[in-house]
Amino acid sequence: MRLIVVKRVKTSNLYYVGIPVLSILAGLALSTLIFASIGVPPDLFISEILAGFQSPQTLRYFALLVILGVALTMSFRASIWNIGAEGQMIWGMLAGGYIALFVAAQSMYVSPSDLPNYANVPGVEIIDASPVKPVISVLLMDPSLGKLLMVLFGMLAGGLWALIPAVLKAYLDIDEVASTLILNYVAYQLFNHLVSYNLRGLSVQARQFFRTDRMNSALLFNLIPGTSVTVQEVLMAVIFFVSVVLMYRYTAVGLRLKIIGSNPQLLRSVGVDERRYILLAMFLSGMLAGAAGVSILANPGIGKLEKIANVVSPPTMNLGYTAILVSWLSILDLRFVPIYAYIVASLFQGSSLLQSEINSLFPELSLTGAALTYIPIGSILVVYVILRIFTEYSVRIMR
Amino acid sequence: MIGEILNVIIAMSPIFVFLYLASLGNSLVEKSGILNLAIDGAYTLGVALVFTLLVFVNDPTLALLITSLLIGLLGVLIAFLTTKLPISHGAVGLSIQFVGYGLASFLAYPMSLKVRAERISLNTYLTIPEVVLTFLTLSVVIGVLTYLLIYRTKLGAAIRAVGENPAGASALGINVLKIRIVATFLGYVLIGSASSLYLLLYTKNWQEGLGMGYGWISFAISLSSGRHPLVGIATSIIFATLIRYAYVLQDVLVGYGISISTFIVIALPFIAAVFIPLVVTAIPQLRRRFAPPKHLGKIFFSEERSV
Repeated sequence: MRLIVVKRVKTSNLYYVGIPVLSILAGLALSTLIFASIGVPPDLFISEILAGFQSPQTLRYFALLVILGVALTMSFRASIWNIGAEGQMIWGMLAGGYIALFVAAQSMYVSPSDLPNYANVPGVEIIDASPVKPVISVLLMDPSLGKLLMVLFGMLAGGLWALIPAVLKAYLDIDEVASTLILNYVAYQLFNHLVSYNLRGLSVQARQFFRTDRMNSALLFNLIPGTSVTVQEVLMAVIFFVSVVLMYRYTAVGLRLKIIGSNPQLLRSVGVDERRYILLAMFLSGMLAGAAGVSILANPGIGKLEKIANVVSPPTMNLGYTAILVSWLSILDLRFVPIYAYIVASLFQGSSLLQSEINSLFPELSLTGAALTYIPIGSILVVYVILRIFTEYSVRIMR
Repeated sequence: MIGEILNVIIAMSPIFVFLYLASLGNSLVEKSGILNLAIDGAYTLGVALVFTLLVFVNDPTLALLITSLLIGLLGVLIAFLTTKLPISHGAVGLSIQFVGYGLASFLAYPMSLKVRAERISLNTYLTIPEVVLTFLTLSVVIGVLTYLLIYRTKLGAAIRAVGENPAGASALGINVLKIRIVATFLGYVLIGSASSLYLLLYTKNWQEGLGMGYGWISFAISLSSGRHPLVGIATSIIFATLIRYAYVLQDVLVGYGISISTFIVIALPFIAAVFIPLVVTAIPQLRRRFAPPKHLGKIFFSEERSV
């Protein structure tokens, strides 16, 4: 008996739906086994993951993963493997943070005796009521304009950061997977540098703390009641999703971005410089990632930038890597991005629920967030990558 | 004078050793045509494995050997998947990288708590000149042997052949899968021992995320040395100097009134990892000589195949 792998004449539609779902199930089963090996009860694992599907917190990751999923799908469809969304989000945060802390509003010291005078002044917020060196934040422009600027500059910064590997790829043929990934580490360290020195807050007194001031609360995005997702985040997810879908469907640019993925020679033969479209795909992708970074920063739960203590747990929450899963499971088809963004967001939220549950029930197990997110994500990806061949190949048994 | 040079060599050796061995491993893997994007996951996992094993066996050499073997087996899995099935090398590599990150944390974090709670003293290699120079010599010898293997033996010719043109090699009777498994196993054994030595000879202790990114630096070293084992010695020295002496540079610059932060110092090898490969592509002669294997990262799969 032999197994024969045969290329399909036509790719199978059934498998397009079945394989991602099967991969998720098999990947979860695999992770359940891995965690069960050290004593995490499988039913706890499964019930927490399922709880992730109904948790109101999931909506926040959902909105972010839609933005990032669209961002990555845009570059992946152009056959540019942008693994650098993490770094692009970091730059989005930095640029958004700069606008929020130095342009749209400004922190300043006041004398302790004057402090009560500022308590009820519109546009002025006391961000540190220290008895020695109190700090207030003064709004310098209309807050909605400020928020808009934060998003725009965040997008610009993310896009520009993405242009570095894009230029290397387009003009010097340097593999973008490695360069985007390595640039994430560079971005983390530059973030630490900027947060610790250039953007360091006035209210940070102790020498060992490295963070910015708290943002003026007028510039924070507005939470949807009962959740941790903001109105602006949801709006951005909808706007980006719709406009990118429309761009692919109705514009020449969209068509060309699709063609560089499948047939760059065709573009060259009609006189289009495909290198410019490589730059464009990465720039757009980085812009959206930058916007995701801004919305993480401007979430009322965050509101400031803090030094990254360990590269395993950056403020981007590794969503830039998680979004690869969204994009791949959607088979680079934008229409599926929201569906898989929701599923992956639930898994993401489920694993953080699991972590807090394990910490309280089994403190001796000491599982880290990195283990609980990377193992399920990695397992699903591995299974998916292997099963993926069934969309284009079929396996037959010969006797 | 000679004493000073020797001190510099001793100070740089541990860094050189772990960078060079991993880049050698990467070169060997990629010479056989497999795009090695799992390297950072394997590296991070290797660091965690050797730490975990060290807590149990308390013998650095034994921990190093077992880790290298296990990481070598991971390499065999990668070679099997990418050669036997029509799967994208990049996708497999990245997925395995994430599993590696997760497993690293999963294995070593509980151990690190145990080490702290029970005040276990880890038996790592001493950073004394005799030990350090032994490893330096060993790594250069392994480098030369790898060079001889790739360029002077029949097996090496076969490895290069499957990297350049697997279909042609297969037609000439070379078993592509077998050759790639051998090359990737050896390559990943080197990556495993490099990650072990990173912990045993350099950091001496583990913390969450340790080793992440160093796989990519080794990847960049291999890339910018054109995957040539002997050229890799020079490139590794550049990166080792950067990692070891960036702090000195920081001090020197302060003397001139320029202050760069520790974070920039940490970022320097990563910045170099992105831009040093550019030097190779910018110089036409180097670009030709250092060209990657023609079939690197391409799927080797005919229309039909029995498994």
